[in-house]
Amino acid sequence: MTINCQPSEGLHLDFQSSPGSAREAVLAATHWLRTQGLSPEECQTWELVLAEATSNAVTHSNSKSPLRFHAFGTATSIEIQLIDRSSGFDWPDEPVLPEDDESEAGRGLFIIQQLTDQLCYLRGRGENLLRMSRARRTAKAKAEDLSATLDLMTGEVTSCYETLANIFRLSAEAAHDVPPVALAAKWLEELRQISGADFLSLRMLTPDGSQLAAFATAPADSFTTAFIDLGNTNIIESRAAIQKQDQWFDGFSVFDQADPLSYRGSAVSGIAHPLETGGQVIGVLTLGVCRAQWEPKAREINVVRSLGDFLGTLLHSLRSRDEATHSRLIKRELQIAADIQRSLLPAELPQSATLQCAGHLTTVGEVGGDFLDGIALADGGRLFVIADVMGKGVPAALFATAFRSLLHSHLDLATQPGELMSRLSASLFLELDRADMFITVQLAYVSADGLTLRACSAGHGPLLLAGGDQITEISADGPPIGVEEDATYPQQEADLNGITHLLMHTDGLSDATLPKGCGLGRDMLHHWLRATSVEGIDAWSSRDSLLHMHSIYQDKARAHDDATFVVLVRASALLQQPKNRTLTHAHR
Amino acid sequence: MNINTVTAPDELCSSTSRAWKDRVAQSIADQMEASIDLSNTRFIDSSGLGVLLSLNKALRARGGVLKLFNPSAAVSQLIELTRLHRVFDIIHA
Repeated sequence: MTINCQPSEGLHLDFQSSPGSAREAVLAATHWLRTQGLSPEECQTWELVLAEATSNAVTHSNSKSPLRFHAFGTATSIEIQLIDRSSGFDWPDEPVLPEDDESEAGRGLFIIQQLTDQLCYLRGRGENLLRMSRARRTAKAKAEDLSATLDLMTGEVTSCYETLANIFRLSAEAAHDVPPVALAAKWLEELRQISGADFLSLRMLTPDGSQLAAFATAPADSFTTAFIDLGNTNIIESRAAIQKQDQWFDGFSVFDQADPLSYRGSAVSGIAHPLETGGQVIGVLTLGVCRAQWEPKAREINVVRSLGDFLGTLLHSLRSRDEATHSRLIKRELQIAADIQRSLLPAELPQSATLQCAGHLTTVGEVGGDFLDGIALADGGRLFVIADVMGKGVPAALFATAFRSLLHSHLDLATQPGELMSRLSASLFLELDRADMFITVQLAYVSADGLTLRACSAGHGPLLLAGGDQITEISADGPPIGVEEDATYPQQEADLNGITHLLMHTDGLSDATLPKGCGLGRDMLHHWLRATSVEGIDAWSSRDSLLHMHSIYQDKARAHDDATFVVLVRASALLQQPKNRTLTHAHR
Repeated sequence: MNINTVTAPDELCSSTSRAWKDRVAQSIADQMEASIDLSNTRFIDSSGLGVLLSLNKALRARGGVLKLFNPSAAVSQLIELTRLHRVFDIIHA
């Protein structure tokens, strides 16, 4: 690098076209500027201008020839020329910033243009001249620069204080059980005052994460669209949420037809800021003005971003807290309903000298819709009942409870299951129809001598009878209770001579809805019952055997239905008496 | 997860930015959040801004975030002049 520095003639400096040499030249020129009495701020501005100019020349020059600075100072201004010997380029009339805010290059000419008072680029044959000049800042101007810096710093401190003070106030208000929407609306209005925006809107992500739902606005009730589909990234707010990045818009933005911002007219500008907590987007805060251009100060944007982020996090935690409370209440209600339902089940199933029985009820979740009962009748006979209320949870348990009460109040009809079913249907139809629910039921009456079976079904699967190798299905079928107002139910009578085992079950056992090969299925049940009959297995062991098989299949298939069954065994087929409880209840 | 804070050099310009970028990109390669401490950076030009934009873009591409700490008044003014305060997450401590 060659430096020729004489105060009267200015600075003349030749240097190589490389980043390192260019940097040295810029520092040498800056040093010379200091000797000319320029303030540190002026020197720093010139340093940036010269860095951009030389960087541009080095990067874009196709020549290895040296570059040259000529610098001159007058009483009122500084002029610096940069001469290169490349083929040059066309200097744009008005250098602008890149359209893409995140472009990594393309700002150099804009910076030079902005920071100089006069600028001229002369493109010649084999030599180009860039002439840059700036007026000297006077001593008074120097004081003004200091004042401007102080203003900037004061503004920063004030905005930080303002943000913190507002966050404390917001936290305090949130602790006073203010409804989240009211809290958000109030704070959006505060933000509107702080930022000078014409409108703000807050949208929160729906629980399924597919949409942004309107939450609050300032001014109040100025939403134009309730929901925004996150799948449409042409919508500014959707794009902010999907890309987790601020989206700026102005009078030149082209809005999608579905974009709520399009309803605010063409002259709007602003920013859509995604709100995140724990790395997950929870909503979008949008603020804008009804002008084609808006240039907010960095500190204004910082305040809005900080307060917006805090408000979003606060609302998210309030919503999570409400959901947790609601969930606890629901769980408690379900526990109570489950306790009631369990109390309605018989402690034991009624045994007799001619008939033994064992049953099992598995409930998926706290409360299921399955019901079973075994009732010893006055004539010495037994009535067995299996029912399945459509659905689960509290409504299903309530109807199971009502069904049980009605059943026990009409036991005078127990020996004629068809009539009993018709009566139950007539009594429950209106309530079930109103709730859009139904119940499938199977009733089985076995006479005191154990030789006669009368069965009736309301939309239930068949009752299975086994006598050695033979399996018979009893399907005296009418519609489920709650489907037809004046339904009648046929009953079927069967002679139990030669029959050893009977099986009543809900469809949760046979799992008709499970994928083929995963459930127990009709054929498997027939196979099991045939083997059980042939081997003369008692009711207790039969129940345990079927339960074991069911549990294996349930693990594989992850069943979502309750499974309930009753095994009846005629005493003449038994080799020993059952030794444990006749009814078991499992809860998954 | 620890946030990786990298101190930017005294000068972040065309003669220094490329080498610095390579070093930083390597040190935050497996980070989801990184901070660039600009409190010691006296001078930055458009090449330096380009490096910060490049790091920001790389982090965003994997769902991360880049924060700029304590830029000086001069650096802040340049960021604002080039409207990059819209892009960067700037924190004044």
